[in-house]
Amino acid sequence: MRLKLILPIFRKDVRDAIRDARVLVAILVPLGLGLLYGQIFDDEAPKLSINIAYTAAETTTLPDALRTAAGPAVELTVSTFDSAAAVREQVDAEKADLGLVIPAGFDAAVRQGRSPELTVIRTSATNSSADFALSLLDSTLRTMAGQTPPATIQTDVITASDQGAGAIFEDLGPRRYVLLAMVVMLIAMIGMLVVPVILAEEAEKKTLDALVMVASYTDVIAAKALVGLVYMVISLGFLLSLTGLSPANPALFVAAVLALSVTMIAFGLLLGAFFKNANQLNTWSGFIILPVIAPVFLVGLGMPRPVELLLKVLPTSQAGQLLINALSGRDYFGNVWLGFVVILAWGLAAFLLLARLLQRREA
Amino acid sequence: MDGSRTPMVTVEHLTKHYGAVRALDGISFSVAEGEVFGLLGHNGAGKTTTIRMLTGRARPTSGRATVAGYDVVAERDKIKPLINLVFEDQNLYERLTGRETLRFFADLYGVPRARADELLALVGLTEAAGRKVKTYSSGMKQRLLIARALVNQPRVLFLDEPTRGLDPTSARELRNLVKQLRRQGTTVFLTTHYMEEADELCDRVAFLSQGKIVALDTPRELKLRYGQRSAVVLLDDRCEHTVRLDDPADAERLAGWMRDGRVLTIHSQEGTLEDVFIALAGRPL
Repeated sequence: MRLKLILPIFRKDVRDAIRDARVLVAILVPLGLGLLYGQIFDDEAPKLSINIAYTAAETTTLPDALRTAAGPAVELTVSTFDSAAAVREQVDAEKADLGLVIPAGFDAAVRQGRSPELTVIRTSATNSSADFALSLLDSTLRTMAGQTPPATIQTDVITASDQGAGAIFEDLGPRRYVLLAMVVMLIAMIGMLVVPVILAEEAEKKTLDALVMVASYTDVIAAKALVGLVYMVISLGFLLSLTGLSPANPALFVAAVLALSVTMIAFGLLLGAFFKNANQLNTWSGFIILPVIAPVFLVGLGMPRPVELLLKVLPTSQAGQLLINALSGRDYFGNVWLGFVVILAWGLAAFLLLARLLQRREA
Repeated sequence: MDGSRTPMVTVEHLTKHYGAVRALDGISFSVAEGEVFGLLGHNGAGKTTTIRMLTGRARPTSGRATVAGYDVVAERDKIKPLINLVFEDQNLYERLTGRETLRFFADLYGVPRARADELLALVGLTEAAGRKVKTYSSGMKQRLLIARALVNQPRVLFLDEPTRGLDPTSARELRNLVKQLRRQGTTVFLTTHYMEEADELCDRVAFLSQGKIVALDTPRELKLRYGQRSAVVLLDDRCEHTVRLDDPADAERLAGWMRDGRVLTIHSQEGTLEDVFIALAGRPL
């Protein structure tokens, strides 16, 4: 490999390839989807929303105690009304999930253990918010009465594969989760579409013959790989800056992106060497790229065991897991090194096949 | 080959098999420095295969070849800067401009970028230099291909069917360019279907048929050797008579017509390269 030959080919391709509509579309689609999803979704996971309407004959601490008990995971709105009728009206109109009619001297009576009457109003319809509010009410009243809870609930954070998508969604938020998938999609599209299209077009138009009059196949391949890498860096830079996506662990994020990029480029070069025609490649690309991108959308969704096992050996799902860890700054999936080993093993296999192919071509 | 000149291309018993197909069957020849050498033959005769091996893009099955003194297999990298090729196909980057194309190849060969403008002027493309190649006519593309092949000032220039598909004007311009290169001392290795072109340009030609060289000499010698020794005489009564130049009776007849002042025109029938090819290969190109 000679740098003095690789660099001119690289410079030519960086300028020339982007003028090809197929290349432009392959870059703009994931970039555009990323920007679109970035606008549609929120960073926060959807919270359980509960509206409680109440009326109290005198000042009470019950609403504040309920807010404290609900915690940050629940979006609790407590509104006060003048009369029981007004509260009933709110519940009946489904403006409130639960209505409370709090009598005079309620707080003091609870503290003294005199079991005061508290009227709860709800509709007969199934309402998970109302159910949650009722369970919240029970524990809140016990606390107000000074009772020791029958058990101390200790929350234990366990790994996502056992925990399902809920925890990841809650931690990352749907916006970051989808943007992460777009990062993988962008890398896969550039590696497995743009790079092979550039290479196959050289073979199709026979410009490759002119190149190898002065350079070697290896020089040409190295230049194409470099083009793919630069397109990835630029496109990812755009995606991250325009969406404001910032990983909690930047080093892990960069390393995972780099490992996946190298592997996707290796596969792309292999495809480019197999297909002698860019249009043929374009036709088959949908079938080729779908199984590559799809696994990243399944990461952490709690798939059946065979699917989970398959995800453990695929490069894009492993990259998805590493990127989730990097974005959240948490160790959801554990064994980071295994992830890198799986991704790079695929890349190494592709490069070895490519080298074999080049050897035969050079011969 | 002229024995006083250094051989730029030597081919010894070169053979190339593609599976069971014998594309080249032990051909041998040499090309002197500054010579324009033509390789003629039908489609599939082995012309392009020969060029592919001489330019290091295919390995011979057996035999040996050198270009500029270097072995085409063992010293392929040393040959690359010394040669160039005008391909049969117009393999250009359509989205680049003419100037970008030549600057790119100047960068690859490590020559100054100013060479691009010199070559654009040489092939008459200065005005179109800023236009994308996809807007060029076929003739303009062919001229750009020639310019690209001259970027590195090759000592041996290979031309694979350079005028195929060109209109007569563009073909003539290209032939003039080849003559100019010959005057500058460039060795030219040409394959073509057009016998007139080979006759006009080549110092020597080789006829390739079924992977073998069936004749190799100067066009004149080949025509003399394989052409008819006859002439068509137009007399004052507007009658045409064919006379054989090696027949004493015909010579006497011709002398009589001339003595009587009856001869209006005499056209020698020395034959063309095409006649030679038909005589050797059994069918026209």
